[in-house]
Amino acid sequence: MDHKKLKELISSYHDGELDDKEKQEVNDHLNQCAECRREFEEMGKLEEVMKKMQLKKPHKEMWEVYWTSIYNRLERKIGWIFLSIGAMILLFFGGYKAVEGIIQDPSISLLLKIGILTLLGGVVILLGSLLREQIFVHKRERYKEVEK
Amino acid sequence: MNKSDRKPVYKDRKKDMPEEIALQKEQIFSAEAAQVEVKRALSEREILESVQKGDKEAYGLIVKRYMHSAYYIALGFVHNQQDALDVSQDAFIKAFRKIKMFDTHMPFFPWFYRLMKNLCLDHLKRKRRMSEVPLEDAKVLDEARDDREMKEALWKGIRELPFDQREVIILRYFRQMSYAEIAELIGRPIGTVMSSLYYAKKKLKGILGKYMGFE
Repeated sequence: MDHKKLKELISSYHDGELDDKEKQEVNDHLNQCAECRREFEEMGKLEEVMKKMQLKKPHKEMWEVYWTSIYNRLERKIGWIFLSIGAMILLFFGGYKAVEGIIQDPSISLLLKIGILTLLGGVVILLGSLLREQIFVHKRERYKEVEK
Repeated sequence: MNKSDRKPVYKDRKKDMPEEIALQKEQIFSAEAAQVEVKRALSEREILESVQKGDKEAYGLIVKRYMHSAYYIALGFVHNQQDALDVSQDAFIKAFRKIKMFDTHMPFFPWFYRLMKNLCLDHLKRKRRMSEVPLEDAKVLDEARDDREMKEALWKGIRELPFDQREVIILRYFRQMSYAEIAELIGRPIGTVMSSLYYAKKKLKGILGKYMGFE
């Protein structure tokens, strides 16, 4: 067995991941290879230090509010969706009524009617373009097809 | 021996690890352990099926079960407590929105983990774009331990590892996972996990050598 392979096994030896046969292979090799014996000792020291390293624990309160915070954000999201849908319905209804009123009002000059309708047409086209862009982005969203 | 021929070796390392982590690991990898928990008469699958029907309260059980693991893994990746909290919570929110795509016959955590890992990677890219100078070393190691300087140097070394090597180091040493558990979580063969760990440890050994005199 080559040295690179043996060094990988030495690393796994310290991780407690070798079966008895593999351990025996490593031990046999260590008895006759000073370089790998040194590697074994150094890896052992690294293992000792790494096992003692710990990440900082957060305050207990963080765990107490962890789920609440997620729950609130999920609730808020649903609130925003309803608010947006309601606002869009009102906007379209108001827009429709306004256009209807302008067209039927004989006191408004034809030029003004054309100006207002062109302005509204522009707004509708811009909104439509934004909406299409959002749908395009959503379709290519990176996490859309997250692996199961 | 060919790496792909290696069989998973499950070792009982519970005696070597903090009780909190041992419990969390059982929750991640053992369906039986999840089922016997006092507060949870329902299996994870049943809970997730309720979540798929829109039950947010049921999702709370899932979040509470995995929040510790999610937070600490994110902390290992993003190096900052506030960012780890934000990213792990964002991942739970994202997972809730995608929950209908989840196959309830599969364990939840590996699916969630892949989603959170992508968020962590995006977060790191965003941070790098925003700061022209290298990111400041955040103090994320437990301060109550000895050999602070050496451990800080090792932590810096971990941060500078390629992501696939850093990932296996975080899971192996900060979540005490076996090779088989890591392989399941990251969706790679055990041989790849073994190899990545070896190369990562080789680099870290070089850093440790400067402090222990075996450079």
